[in-house]
Amino acid sequence: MNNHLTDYQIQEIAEANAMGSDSKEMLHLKSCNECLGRYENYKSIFTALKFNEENFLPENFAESVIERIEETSVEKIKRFPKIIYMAINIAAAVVFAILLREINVKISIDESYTVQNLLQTGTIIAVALIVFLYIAINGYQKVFQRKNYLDDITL
Amino acid sequence: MGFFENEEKELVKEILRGSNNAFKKLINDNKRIVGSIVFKMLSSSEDREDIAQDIFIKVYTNLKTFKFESKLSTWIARISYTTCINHLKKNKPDLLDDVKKYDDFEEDISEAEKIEDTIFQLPDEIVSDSQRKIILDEEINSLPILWKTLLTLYHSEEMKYDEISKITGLPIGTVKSYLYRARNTLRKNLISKFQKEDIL
Repeated sequence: MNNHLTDYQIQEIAEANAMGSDSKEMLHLKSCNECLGRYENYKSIFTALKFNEENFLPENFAESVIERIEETSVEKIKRFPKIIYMAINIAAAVVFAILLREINVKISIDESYTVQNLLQTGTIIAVALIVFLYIAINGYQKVFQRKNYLDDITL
Repeated sequence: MGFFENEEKELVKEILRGSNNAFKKLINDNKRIVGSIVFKMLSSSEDREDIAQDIFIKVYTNLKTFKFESKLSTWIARISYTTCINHLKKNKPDLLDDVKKYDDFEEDISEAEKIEDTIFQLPDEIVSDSQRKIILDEEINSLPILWKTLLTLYHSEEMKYDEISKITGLPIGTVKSYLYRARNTLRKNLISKFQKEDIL
């Protein structure tokens, strides 16, 4: 009985559900009990695999994920001020010291130094602070995300 | 195809705008495929849910990089597969080598085909559906991780070869070959098990 179908051919027929066709393989299959038996084996394996479901994730899974994302965001906000506030405190102290020195110097050497001049200096320093904070926040968020979630995705 | 693509684009846009409901929909639409992969690849029940959550957090974090070059579900399945592989590598790197024990499989086939085949059947009066399921689950779980994952994606999730190839990063020919070998091994194992337990 050298004409038996190979296992590969039988799997292909079972997979394609091609019992109805008139190919040479099918004609053999219909007349050979041994091959038909193997075919039946594969059909039952295919059916079992199709319905082989362990289940899986709980009903409230989506809520748990969203909760975790929100917790992570809160944690981010909580961790964020520690770094930024420290920077703000230092920056504020430096700005205050510069301002004091500036005012002192100007008043002592130039009596025409007005409140308007003082406001201009303050505005420049405030803009510089905002830019600094913006860069610090963005940088922090990027580093935070990379560290936690981008470790192994290559798509 | 166009309709689903548009629907996916809308969903992604909504999520990127910050809609929790849209993200909840994405999770519910895809938790089956993620669950299938995670539950087949990881045996530790404590890890499974945590890893599945990690996967969706990665999806959320990286959604803005999704280019719609594949279906969203394929992209999510790819993240799931990669995450599980990395988890396995980190914990038990040798687990991924379990395909190697079947390396001389080709010789096995030619040898096996000389032997008269046993046809296994599980008559209903002897083996109930639940017993049948238990036996099959045991045998599937004894297969290499990669093989059982491929079987699940192909048969339970009804994915096409090219989708599976995108998810696993394996060439289509390799996917087909592994599937063939996995089913053949499964059948042989079932035959030997039934003979041993004298169920026939």
